[in-house]
Amino acid sequence: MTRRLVLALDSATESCTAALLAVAADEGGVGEPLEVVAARREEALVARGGGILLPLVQEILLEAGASQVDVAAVVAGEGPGTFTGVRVAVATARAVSLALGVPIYGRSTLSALAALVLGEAGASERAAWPVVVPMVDARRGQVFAAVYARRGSVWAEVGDLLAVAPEELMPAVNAVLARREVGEGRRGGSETVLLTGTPALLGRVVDPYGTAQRRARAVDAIGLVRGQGWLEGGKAVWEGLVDAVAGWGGWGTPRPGRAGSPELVRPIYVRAPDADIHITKMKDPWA
Amino acid sequence: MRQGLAASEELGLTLALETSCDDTCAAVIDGSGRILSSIIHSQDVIHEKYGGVVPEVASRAHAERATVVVREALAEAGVGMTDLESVAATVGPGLIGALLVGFHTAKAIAWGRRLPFIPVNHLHGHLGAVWLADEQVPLPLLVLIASGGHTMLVRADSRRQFSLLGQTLDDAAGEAFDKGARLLGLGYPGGKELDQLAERGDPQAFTFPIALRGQDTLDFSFSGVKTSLFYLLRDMTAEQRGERAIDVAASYREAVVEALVSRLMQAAEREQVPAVAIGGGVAANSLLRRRVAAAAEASGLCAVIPSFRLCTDNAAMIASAARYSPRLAFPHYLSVEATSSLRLGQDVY
Repeated sequence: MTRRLVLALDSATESCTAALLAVAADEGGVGEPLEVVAARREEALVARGGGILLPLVQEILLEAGASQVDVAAVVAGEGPGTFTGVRVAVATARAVSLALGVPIYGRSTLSALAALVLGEAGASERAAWPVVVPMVDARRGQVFAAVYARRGSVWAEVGDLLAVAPEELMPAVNAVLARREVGEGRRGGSETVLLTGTPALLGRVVDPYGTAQRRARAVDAIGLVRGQGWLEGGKAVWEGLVDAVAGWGGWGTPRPGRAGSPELVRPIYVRAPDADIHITKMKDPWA
Repeated sequence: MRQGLAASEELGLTLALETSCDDTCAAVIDGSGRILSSIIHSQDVIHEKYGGVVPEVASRAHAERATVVVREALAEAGVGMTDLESVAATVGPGLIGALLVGFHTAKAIAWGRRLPFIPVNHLHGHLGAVWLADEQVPLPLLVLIASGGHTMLVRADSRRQFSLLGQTLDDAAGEAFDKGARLLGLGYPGGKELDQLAERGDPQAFTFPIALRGQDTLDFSFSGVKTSLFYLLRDMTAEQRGERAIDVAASYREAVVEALVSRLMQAAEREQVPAVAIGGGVAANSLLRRRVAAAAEASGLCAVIPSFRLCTDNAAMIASAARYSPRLAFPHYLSVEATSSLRLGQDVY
């Protein structure tokens, strides 16, 4: 009997990655009802424009001994990262969803990083991390980063996505946390901040407050599903994915609040196109 | 020959995507080459404020719409995903970020359905529009492809064999029209507005240079005519520019169209072909259409003037060209990538 599978993919960063997951025979701990059947991650040159993503998907499908019809749901990393890489992953995931008539879900590429470290950590480690900050290369000497702060047993994203120089990251994170604490009537403190990203990026972060811990991780599509239960909103996604692989139909018959049309999954760019900054309005050329 | 490669006109029901510049297009044609649907989402409104196509802005708009146009094309054709027998997409030339969106969308649909995939050269697509417009056109055929990005004369000895006879040395003809329209304050893209304005003007009121005229070449040049328009308008008062706009537009259009038509007919005579055709966005120009039809008739040649929707970028022409392009069987196309630079007659492998 072939298993019904979740296909997860991400090409927003230099990691081009795809994974197939299935409902675990024995349901594990909280947030981990799906186990990895096959997964691949390759460091891709951006110049290749995501051309290796679909070959990776085909490879893991063969490795799993499965076929396209066994794919019951798709989850895409929506970025941020390189604009082209983000579009390739989203376009591919949408097209697969459309071609197979299966539900599609989107999670941020940064959430995949956070979910990876939280999913792999032990309970005592998680208890010691009030704040998790995943980051990816944003080019132009900057990183894209998100701030996740623990609320009960889940980490909720606070503030807007950041696009800052690595040296400015910790002050920017503290500013986000300070605003949250004022809003919630809490006292500002010097909480431990768990940073995650590639070793090269982690090495460039300056830690003026002595509160940073670093854990190296490359983006992996597995994190779009595994460990998402620790993140706000992530649990709803894997619940939807479990529904999908358990036999619920395609996006043509959407459930309220769950998967809808492929276009619901959208690229996260953070930055506006440069042209918007240097806009030359059409005007009288002779004025 | 690459593994899984086959050339065949038997593609059955084909879905095609085209996103090489600023139009998001999808079409379905059947096994006999009949167009069942052709959806074109223009981005003109989006790019208007920039005064030109901005690649990153175009890529983002394609990413928003690619699956939308596919769904619309399938719905209008009255077919479902499971009915498709092949998938095609423009592989180049064009804006790379824009190309990638349609190309990866098409490739992933083909993967999902385990269908053959056909990467199509955009320039061959403009020739494919000619076959859609006239299935019986005699060969060899001379085609003038003129758009915002290309101006070239192509000889087609069959539906697979093409040779480049001449091309622009600088600006494309469509660029000359769009930039001329901008100088005349007609907005963006403006080529169509310039054409409409010119219909009411005197084409002999002003004299514009026609580059390379009388020379033994089949190449084009449009930078000179654009520059002389700039100087003419610069030396006018704002009042004159308003009053004489109609005549300036008519004279300018006359010069650009005359350069295109005279070269096309010069090539037809040299190559001794029985038929001529036009394609590309500039082929929607009303004066060019009239002149080519008249010149062909005077020379006893067959002329193919495709409908407006087939001249500007569309996916039906890509589906048509796919029938005469190398087809890749599943899964031998998964690592094929789009490319910004592709010459006439060139395939990606």
